[in-house]
Amino acid sequence: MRVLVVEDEKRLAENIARGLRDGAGYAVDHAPDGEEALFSIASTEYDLIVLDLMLPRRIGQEVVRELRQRGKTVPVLILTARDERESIVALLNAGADDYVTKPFDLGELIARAKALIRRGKGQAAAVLHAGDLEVDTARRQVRRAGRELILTPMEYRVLEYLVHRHGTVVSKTELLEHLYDYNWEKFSNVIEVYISGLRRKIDEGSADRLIHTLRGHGYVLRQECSVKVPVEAETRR
Amino acid sequence: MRPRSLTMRIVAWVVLLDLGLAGLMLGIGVFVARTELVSAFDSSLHQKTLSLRALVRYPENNSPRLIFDPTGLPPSADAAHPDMFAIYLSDGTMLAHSPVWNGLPAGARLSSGGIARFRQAGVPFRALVMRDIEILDREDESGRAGAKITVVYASTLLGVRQRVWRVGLYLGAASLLLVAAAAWLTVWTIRRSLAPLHELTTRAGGITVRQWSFEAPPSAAATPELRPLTQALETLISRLHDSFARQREFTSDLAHELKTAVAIIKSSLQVLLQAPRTALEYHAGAEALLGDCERLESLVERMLRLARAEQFAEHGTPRQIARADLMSTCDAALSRVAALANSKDVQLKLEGISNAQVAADPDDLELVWVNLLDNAVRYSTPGSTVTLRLRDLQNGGAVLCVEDSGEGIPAADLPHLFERFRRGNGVFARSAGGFGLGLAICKTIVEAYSGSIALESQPGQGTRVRVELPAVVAEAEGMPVRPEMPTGPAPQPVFKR
Repeated sequence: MRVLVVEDEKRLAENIARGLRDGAGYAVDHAPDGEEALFSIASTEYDLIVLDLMLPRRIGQEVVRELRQRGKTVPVLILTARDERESIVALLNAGADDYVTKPFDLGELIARAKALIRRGKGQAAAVLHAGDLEVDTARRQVRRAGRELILTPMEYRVLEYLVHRHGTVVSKTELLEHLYDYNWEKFSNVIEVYISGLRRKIDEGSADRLIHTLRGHGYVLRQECSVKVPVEAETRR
Repeated sequence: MRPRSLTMRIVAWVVLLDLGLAGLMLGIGVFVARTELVSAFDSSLHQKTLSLRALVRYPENNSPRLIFDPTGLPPSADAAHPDMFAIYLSDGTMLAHSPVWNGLPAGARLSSGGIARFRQAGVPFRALVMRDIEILDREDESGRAGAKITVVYASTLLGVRQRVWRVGLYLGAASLLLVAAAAWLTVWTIRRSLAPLHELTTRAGGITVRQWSFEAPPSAAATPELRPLTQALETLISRLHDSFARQREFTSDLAHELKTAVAIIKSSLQVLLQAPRTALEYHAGAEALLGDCERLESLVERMLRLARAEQFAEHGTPRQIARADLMSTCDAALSRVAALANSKDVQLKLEGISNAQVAADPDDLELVWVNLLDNAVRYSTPGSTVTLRLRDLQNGGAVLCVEDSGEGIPAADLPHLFERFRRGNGVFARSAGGFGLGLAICKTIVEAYSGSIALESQPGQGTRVRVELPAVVAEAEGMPVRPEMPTGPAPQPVFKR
């Protein structure tokens, strides 16, 4: 999952980014003002935006309105120092999804971030299922048929994303986009490394495979062996 | 002062005026009526006198003695007080008289028209005396010269008086009715005219801290007399609203700054506790936290400074009249900013000298210069120079300029620079590590000492802040220079007179 933190206070942005990286395993980018935030949102697909209300150049509310006008459905979590009812109502009406008031609890912020991402992917429960695979996003635990699997943080991130999008083909580029922030070097072959690691841990000892590779298209997490390839992909073949 | 109702005063005036006018009208009416009636009465007297003459004639037996024939006497107007008459012959003997005839009273004066007025048993009479009227006898063909008689005819004036009285009564009643109507109309009109004022009052009464909207009701807006009031109200309320909104915005910005500062510290601690850390990581975290605390401390200090300066500016009178040597405050400020300038590779330069003694607390002035230099250094490009320029004015005051050749400020942001926590388009709000309070503090302090501060900037070329401070005022003369003033390369203070 990739999150954009829009906050002009550098130290606070650093702390939030660190909290989200360490506490939820998300890739986090930082934008110091509203203009830059809108630029980043236009060029990258984010799974969540954490937005401070008082920003230089564009205030948070404008950013929310602008990005909703552009048709972006990404969940927006507002950081605000104001707890006056009107401003919160105005924010939610402008298209924000949730808010936390400063000074916030980092644990709560992370929990809300997780919940918003889940909701954004159409999931209500914190525990995601795909066949007999169970991913507990709150505790970051993975089970297959009741057996707990030990994953590296990066493997977990890949799996969490695939489970969220389960049933659909996820390209390598999409994975790279959502799992890495700007600070990391992106090499597409590392994805293959994680996938093979995951496959080994998940599919080992099970009759049916869950992670499938579609050569030239990407990966899909699905129970059945037969996988529906997107129509355009089929015609190209 | 005793409260007096405007309505009651106007109504009282209207009624008084109306009563006066009604009285005048009544007087004129009665006078005219009386004159007319009396003149009619006189002509009837004349008629009656002439008809009486026709009753005097010579007898048929050709006797030279005149006789009076009472058969055709004109009727009396008032049966209770019958007319009285007397007929005298030319030799003065009385030919005939009415049943009651006491003769004209001795005091009765005859007017030129032969009219006399007298009272008979308390009843007013009016008499006509017609002298030397010729007897016309149609049977007289003998050529005898017509005898002459004098006729006195008196009739009571009671009827006339009654009629005059009645006319007065009618007129008076009508006038009173008119006065009452005018008073009622006045009250009604005033009530009606005051209705927009009442509406305005209700509207103005509805203004609260939460509900600032004030729009003059259409009735008041359509009343030209109320326009100055509504305009004054509108201006006042919008000004109050603005200042209230500014205050609220400031409080909210303040809360934002403080909460953000607390949020940084809290989240730093939480990040530190999120997972087990090495001693080195804890150490680094603690150091960062110390930095966060120092930032919070400086924020609080600056806000208190601003609050103090504002309070000072509001109350006007300085607690003590201070005297600052401009040059030494500048030197102190330059040495305080030197470290930052060094780290940013910006050169600081002092140009010009000043002997000015300005009426200000040296600590306050130093804070202003430090803020201005600090800003200039922060927005300067490495290798450039920040210049502090001093100049004395003819009137004993001084001008101080801080110039940099940094990135400059977009014209759109210039008007908001002196606002606290400028934001929105204020790109600078925190990008260079400030709080957005510095210039607001400078402006408040400079204006508290009756000075002025202005900023001009060319994007890409640099920014110049110009501060002008007035000289020490006369009453502060003779006060010693504060001893703790640092003495540096500044010239010894010279007292200007």
